Amino acid sequence: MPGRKILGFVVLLIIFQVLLFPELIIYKADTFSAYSTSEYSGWYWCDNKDAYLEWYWFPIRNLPEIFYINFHLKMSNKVDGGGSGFSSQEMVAILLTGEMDEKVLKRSIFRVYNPFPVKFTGDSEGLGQDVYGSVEFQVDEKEVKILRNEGLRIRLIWPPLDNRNVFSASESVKPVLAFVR
Amino acid sequence: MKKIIFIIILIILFSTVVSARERLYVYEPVKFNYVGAVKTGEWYWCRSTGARIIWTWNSVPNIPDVFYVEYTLLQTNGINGGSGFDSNIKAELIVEGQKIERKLIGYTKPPVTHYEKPQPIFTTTAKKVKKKIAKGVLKMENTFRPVYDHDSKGIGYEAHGYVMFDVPKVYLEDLKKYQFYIIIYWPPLDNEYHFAANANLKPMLVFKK
Repeated sequence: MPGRKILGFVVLLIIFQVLLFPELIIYKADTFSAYSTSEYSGWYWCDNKDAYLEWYWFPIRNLPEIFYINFHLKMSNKVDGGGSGFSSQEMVAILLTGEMDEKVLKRSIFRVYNPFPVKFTGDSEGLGQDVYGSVEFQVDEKEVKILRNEGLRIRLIWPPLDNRNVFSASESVKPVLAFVR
Repeated sequence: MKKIIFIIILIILFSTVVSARERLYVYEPVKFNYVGAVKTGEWYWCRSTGARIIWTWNSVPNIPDVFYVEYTLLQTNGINGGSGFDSNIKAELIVEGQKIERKLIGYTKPPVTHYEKPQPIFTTTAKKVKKKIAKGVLKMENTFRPVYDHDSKGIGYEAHGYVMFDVPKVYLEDLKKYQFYIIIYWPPLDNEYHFAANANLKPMLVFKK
């Protein structure tokens, strides 16, 4: 039966492909919180040492030991009437376990890129403030088990290590956790 | 000591005056066009030699010789490609318009009954102006991680970047008078990754002055 042979071959090919090529898996953050921030048009701005932004992901059963969080934030030189083209080479991201615990697992430094080419310190009326970046986290076997059971939290703290630029996030623009598995 | 303090105060005053006067200018294009791109949804994909994206701006009377254009594109490594890819793309700035030329061909004859000065007679001709006036490199950056080279189903394609144009002074008047357009070409300068533009996601021409 040539039909059966072809079917068998196609099934084998699919199995082979699945085994050979790992898949890109993404999870958007499930909840968002902002502390000690100033809110403007749905964006929560961090501009003081108590301020931070935080996202929580429900437990991810297949979370690997290396994963990335991709951010879309806003950055400027000041909260009210800020300018365009500001970025940072050293944003600080903290990885915590569970929804409420204060147990810090890792701290990671990452860069945010602002594609707006003109640095303007006057009021840019919101233009040129979008920044993009991704942070990598690498945890060990024991730590990943905790994260798989309790979920994970990512906290961005102010200020960046290289400047005092203010930054913000919106509840509707969720960071994306991504990994290959 | 007094002199140093005086100089510092002068510098601060000068920089305050300069920065207070400076303004940010942003211009959006008025027309989108493409050649050889393949439409998928709202996106026009460039993935074969000669494919290009063209955006047209109206003349900008206050444009300086150095300005920037910021783009948002999709980028990937092939058909049904992966995430986290970007490239440097060749960009050209071309000015196009009609130059009206007047030529004196004679004078009217004065009437016999009363004195009147003869009036000059002109012919007008429209001459097409089309000049390539600057080249640039559109440096795109895709911050998505991980870089994944198989089908990511559209995830991690978004790339952002800008091109700087430094226009020779002799052509600056053309930009102030005529429409101009910017073409970005496939393939990129450093790879053969595909890129796509969306007619609703307009690039921004920006400068401060």
